[in-house]
Amino acid sequence: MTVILSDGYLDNGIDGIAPWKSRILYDQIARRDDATVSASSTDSDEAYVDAPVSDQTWEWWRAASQPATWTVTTGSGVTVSAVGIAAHDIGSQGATVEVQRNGVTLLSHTPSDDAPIIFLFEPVNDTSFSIRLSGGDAPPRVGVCYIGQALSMIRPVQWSGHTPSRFNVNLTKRASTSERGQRLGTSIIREGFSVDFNVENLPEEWVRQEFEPFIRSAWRYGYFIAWRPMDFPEDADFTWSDEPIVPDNSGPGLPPRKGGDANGGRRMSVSWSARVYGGHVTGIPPWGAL
Amino acid sequence: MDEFTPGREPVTLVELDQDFCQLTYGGPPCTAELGVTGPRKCYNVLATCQDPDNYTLDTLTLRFARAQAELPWHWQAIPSVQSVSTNPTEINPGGGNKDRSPLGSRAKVRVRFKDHPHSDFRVDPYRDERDYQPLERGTFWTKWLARNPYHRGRLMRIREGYIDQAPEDMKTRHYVIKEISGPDANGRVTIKGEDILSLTDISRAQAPRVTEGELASDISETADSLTIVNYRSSDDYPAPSDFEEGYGTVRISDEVIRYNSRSVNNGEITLSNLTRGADGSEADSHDAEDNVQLCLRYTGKEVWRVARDLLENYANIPAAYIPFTDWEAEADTWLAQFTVTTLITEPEGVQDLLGEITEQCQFFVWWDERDQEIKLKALRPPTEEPKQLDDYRHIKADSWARDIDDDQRISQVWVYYLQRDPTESLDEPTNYKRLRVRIDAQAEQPEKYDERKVKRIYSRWLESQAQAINVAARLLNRYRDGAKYLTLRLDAKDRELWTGDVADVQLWSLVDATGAPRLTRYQVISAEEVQPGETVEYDLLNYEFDVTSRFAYWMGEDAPSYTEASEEERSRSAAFWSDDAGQMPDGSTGYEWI
Repeated sequence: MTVILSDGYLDNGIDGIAPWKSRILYDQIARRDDATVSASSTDSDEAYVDAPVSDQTWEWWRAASQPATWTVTTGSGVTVSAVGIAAHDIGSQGATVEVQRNGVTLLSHTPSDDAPIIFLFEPVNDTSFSIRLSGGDAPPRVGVCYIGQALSMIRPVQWSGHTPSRFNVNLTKRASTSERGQRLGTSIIREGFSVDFNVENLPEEWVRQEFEPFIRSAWRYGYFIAWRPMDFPEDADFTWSDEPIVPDNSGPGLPPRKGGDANGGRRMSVSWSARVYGGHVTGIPPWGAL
Repeated sequence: MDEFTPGREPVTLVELDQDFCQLTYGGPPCTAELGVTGPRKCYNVLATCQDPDNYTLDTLTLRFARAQAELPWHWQAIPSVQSVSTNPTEINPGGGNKDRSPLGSRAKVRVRFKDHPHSDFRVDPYRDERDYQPLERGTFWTKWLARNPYHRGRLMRIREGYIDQAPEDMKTRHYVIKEISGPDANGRVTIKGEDILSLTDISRAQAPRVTEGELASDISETADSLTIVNYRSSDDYPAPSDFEEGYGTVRISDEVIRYNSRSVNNGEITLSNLTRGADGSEADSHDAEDNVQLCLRYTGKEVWRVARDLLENYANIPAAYIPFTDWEAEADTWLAQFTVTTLITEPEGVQDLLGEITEQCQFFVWWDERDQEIKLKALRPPTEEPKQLDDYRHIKADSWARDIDDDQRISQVWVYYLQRDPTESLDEPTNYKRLRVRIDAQAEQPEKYDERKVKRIYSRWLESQAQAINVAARLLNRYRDGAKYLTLRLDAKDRELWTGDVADVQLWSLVDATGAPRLTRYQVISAEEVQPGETVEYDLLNYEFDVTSRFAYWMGEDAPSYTEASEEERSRSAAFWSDDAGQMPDGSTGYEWI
């Protein structure tokens, strides 16, 4: 789990929101009607090119040879400020991944493991975005790749009470003993991780304009989230929510005051739970055509 | 990672073998042509095939798994399995359990899946050419079922192992698909599988096969030929030379008729050179349109060959599932005396027939889900070293229970054999020429069970007194004190033990009269991984060849004396006379005849 930040992002954040506040990548330009997905090559024995767009962690794209490029091309320019990669084995293969805009590298990373990666950078507008893979033992697999604009949370996830996903493993452990008390064997079953988020004091207008599209996307799709990208870059998750994300009104609900806070006392809070991808194949995502 | 790894991570894989054409659409010899033979390309399955004459069957294996972390990439498993439940094979040695068929009960599996959108990758070779996005159309199972309506009888496997373990190294159980239901309103799909011996069910397999031919005209009770019409195939009534006996046999009404000649002319089959009122039946006149049923006869045939014939030729079980070399090795040693003779005059369930011969000839067959073959084993002493189980190292805490089924206790065995008239009732004592009775009078004494419990066996198969004596003695020996069951659970580290194996069990509740531990011998009659990769539950039945018994075997001329014999010879491959007190030179107990 790694967040890779551009220098510009570190200096300014995005959208004027401090770089340490949470970023969510739910946008996926590949879902646009005018988008096409292509690759330099595909190992058709086990992979297909649009698998990273399918939102399923158990199918993948893999190139037939290295270096390899996986590209989303759009009919008109789109703004992109983040790329998320999950369900991959780039670390295991010892490869390097680069995020490219029209063939120009924006960021690169050589991960040491296969945890999700989130690249955050200053917004750029273009019609072609790629990930380029090179080096390593063999072409890596990529199960999920989001390219789009990150949502910058205007308020931070509450520190107190938050359990980072890495500590919140869904693990069943069973130990067996013999009739006379000898330890016979221990089994564990890992079903990934989970995480809960709580964000308070959100301006009601911001929730409706910025957050609601994410809520609707999360009904169907997964999303990447870095809850504190600067402080804990290792906490980058690909997640999905089994239940809808539902914000609540909070505060006194007073109308905006002239010259004061534009939202006045109209605030909202939101808490939600998510299942966290915890290694290749953690389940059938709840979204899709069902 | 394996059974012995601390913190082992069990996984369950489900594999389905679906039919899949090995050709490419429109590629020779496939003559399909887009826009001519169909509006879209097929899915390489028969239901969508546009050139069925050239459909070339191959197999596509689909793999599924429970959703859990770190499943290896190369498994390429769809993580949609929600649950796997099984009913294991249960053997019924000697047919002692009256609540079960002598053939035991069939293994079953039920796998529940969660349906989901699917890319069609792998199942649709032409997905990239479709004019639609597969992920947005239907679901995996709705599409699969529409394309694969002919899935019954296809193979499926349940692999139970551990993450990092190669699927082929996992414990694997094999089934055939019985039905696939769903998806239901909750998107759940259920696949039911069963073991290959389910093909012997009476609804699916009968012996002899029904023949539909009818008499062309009336015949008198002395007629020497008869003519058959309205048959399905002339092969229904084979030529006499096709039978080992050199003649064929048919049944009309209650009369058995042998024929020594057959001719086929103009849609009519004529059987001639007839022996009327054969095999104990009475000659009679018959009317036109009376059914002519071909009979099935075995004459002095080794019983295991009869079992194979029934399975292969009447239940259509592929020969690959019958390890006949192993069968012969077992049978040559332990079942050599069981040659059987019978005439079956009307279609009967293969399962029932197998049940009869396994009970009456003291062996059992069962589907070994792990080895994917039908095993045969005689009721005999163990030749392999039984697995040792105790409550210190093996038996899981609070997992065991003992039970005695007194209903299975017997004190007398009556064996009726040499059937008089094969058209008459099978369980009518007067329909047999011989009766052999064996009684355990001691067990019936007032000081003991004070009860007479009789097991009757009506055998149309046994042909000698020696066979009848053997069957009676074996059954009485095993069920003299009723059936003693032991149910227990073992950790997966001991899961090599499986159905049909013999185990010597030491448990604190199994003691002798002094209270000292008593090693007790059991046979595994069913085994099931109730928690795959973690816990196996076993049902065991007391084994008639006890731990303390020594069994006599004939030796060759160059056999050593007892004092010169090796321990292996003393215990497993030889026998020696004891002294008058039943003692061996070293003071140990003498041998028993079996």
